[in-house]
Amino acid sequence: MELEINKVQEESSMTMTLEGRIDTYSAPGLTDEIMAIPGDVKDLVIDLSGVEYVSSAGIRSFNRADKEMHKRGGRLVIKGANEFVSDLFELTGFGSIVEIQK
Amino acid sequence: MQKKGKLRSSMIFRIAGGNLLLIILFGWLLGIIGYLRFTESVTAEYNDAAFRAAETARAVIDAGRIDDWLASGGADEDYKEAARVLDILCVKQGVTLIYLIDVDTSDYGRFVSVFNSVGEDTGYEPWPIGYERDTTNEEYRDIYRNIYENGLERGTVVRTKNLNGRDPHITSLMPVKLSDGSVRAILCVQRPMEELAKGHRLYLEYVAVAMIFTSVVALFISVSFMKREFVEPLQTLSSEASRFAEESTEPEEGVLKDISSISEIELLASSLEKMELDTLQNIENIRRITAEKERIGAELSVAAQIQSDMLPKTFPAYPDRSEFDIYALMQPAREVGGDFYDFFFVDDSHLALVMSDVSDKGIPAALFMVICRTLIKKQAQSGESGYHTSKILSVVNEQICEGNDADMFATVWIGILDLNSGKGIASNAGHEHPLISRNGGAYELECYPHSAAIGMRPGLDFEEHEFELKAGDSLLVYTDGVAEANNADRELFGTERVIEELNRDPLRSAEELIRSLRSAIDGFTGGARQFDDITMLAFRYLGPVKKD
Repeated sequence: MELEINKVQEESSMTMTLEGRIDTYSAPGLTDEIMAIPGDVKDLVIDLSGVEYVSSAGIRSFNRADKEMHKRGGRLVIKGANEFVSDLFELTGFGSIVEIQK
Repeated sequence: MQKKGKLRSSMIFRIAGGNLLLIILFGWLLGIIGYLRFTESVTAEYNDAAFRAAETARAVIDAGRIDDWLASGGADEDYKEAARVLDILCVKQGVTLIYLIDVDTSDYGRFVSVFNSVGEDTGYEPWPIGYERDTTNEEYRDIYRNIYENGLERGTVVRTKNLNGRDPHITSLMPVKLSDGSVRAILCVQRPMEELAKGHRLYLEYVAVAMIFTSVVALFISVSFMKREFVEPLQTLSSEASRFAEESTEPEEGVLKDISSISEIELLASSLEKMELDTLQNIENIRRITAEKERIGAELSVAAQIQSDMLPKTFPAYPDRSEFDIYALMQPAREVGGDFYDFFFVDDSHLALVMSDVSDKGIPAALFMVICRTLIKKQAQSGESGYHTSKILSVVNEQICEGNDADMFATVWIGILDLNSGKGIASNAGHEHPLISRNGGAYELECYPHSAAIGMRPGLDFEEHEFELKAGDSLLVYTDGVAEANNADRELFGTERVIEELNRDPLRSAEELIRSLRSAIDGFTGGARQFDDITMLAFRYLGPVKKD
């Protein structure tokens, strides 16, 4: 598996730390993990410090997570994206929808 | 693997040979043990008989008279009487010799004969009384000494070898004592052992016959048992296995059932049957999977054809239009792709150019691409949104978000150009920046505000901006598969290399530009697997139609 996923939950907030590549092959696993987040979590923080590459399939997974958190009355925050990933967020306009922290 | 020169023979011969060898070995061992026991008991029997004769003979001899007899040379009446009794005894008891000797006790090397009776037809010449003789045989000498000095009551010498032509015989020796208990002479009785030899021969004949008989019977029983329980079941297994290897069909009903009462062979048979059935099942599965794969493959190639036919791909696309030169190419990473380009007339003077990249790849992306492409074209040509690309994208975004449970999205660059004036409106929904060459100059990135990709969220607003192309200006739009094509070292082709390749000669035709860029990418990746769809579109504005 090229992608490692670690989850830490504090009350209604969860931090998901990712490590590796998020591409066509690893993104479905990430989406499954996101959909399996317990119902009491409203806010999700995805930490991309350990991620070198994100493809459009990865953005799809994040988009899905954001939609899900909105449905629950919370939100998604993405932090720690490297330059390549930040550029991709900007390019696809995903950065204008979701909160991206440095 | 068969060893070179090793003899292969059928199992039944091995088993029969092995059994025979075992039986012979066993019989031989039994024969030897029996022979030894037989010899021992017969010898004991002979010895006892000889002693009984000697006891009787001793009773007629008066030891105290021996000196007188020797002195008189046997002339006394009582000597003659005793000699006569011994002669009778000799004949009646069937012994060869009865003799009494007076041994020289200094070294037991000599003796003097006192009595000597010889049996009938023995060929012995009786010794006269007083006959002196050397003791040459050490065995006799030891017994003489033991009788005189150590009180030995019975001595026995068995001669079955080195007989100088005589029959085997046994000699029993016992002391003849004076009234004070001291040994005066030794009485010897010699018996023939020809019956022992005869008995040995008979015994060996019986053993041989019995052994041959039991060998044949045991061989027959063991071979037929082996044949029924091992060889035939194994032959059945072996022929069934080779039949299966040839034909790969189900075993005949019952062929592998109850073939042996030996549990291991039964287990082997049922394992073979299970293995055959499993193999057939696997073959059937593989056949089905292969057929399924072929069907999917065939469908995919039709799908790829449909997708490819959907995009305008006849060039020159509009031979009767002189205002522009256009060329485009889409090359999916798999059979079908998620990228697409499009160009079409919105009305007689307005040309729409579209470049789009659906998130992800393969069949899901291809299906989504068809929806996007159709909706965009339909909306643009409906006239509802005018030439406002942002409005077109807004409408399409709403339509796509409706029921987009798979959360697919597509980045889109769309521009609508007035071919009469060169002025146009463009929107960029999360797509790569276009490259523009002004009047044949170098290509440069044209960056303007971005909107989010369509399908991400309902109710999104899209930006648009106006632009103007002069005659001789060119435009290149592409998807990320171009800049992100990678070689075996995972290095990316990169936007710089794209610009570099285009600027080698910006004045080339749209088709030449696209083709040279494509081969530059191929040269860079050097056969590394194409990871993403590669799509690009080149457009050169040649100016409005000149009116005469």
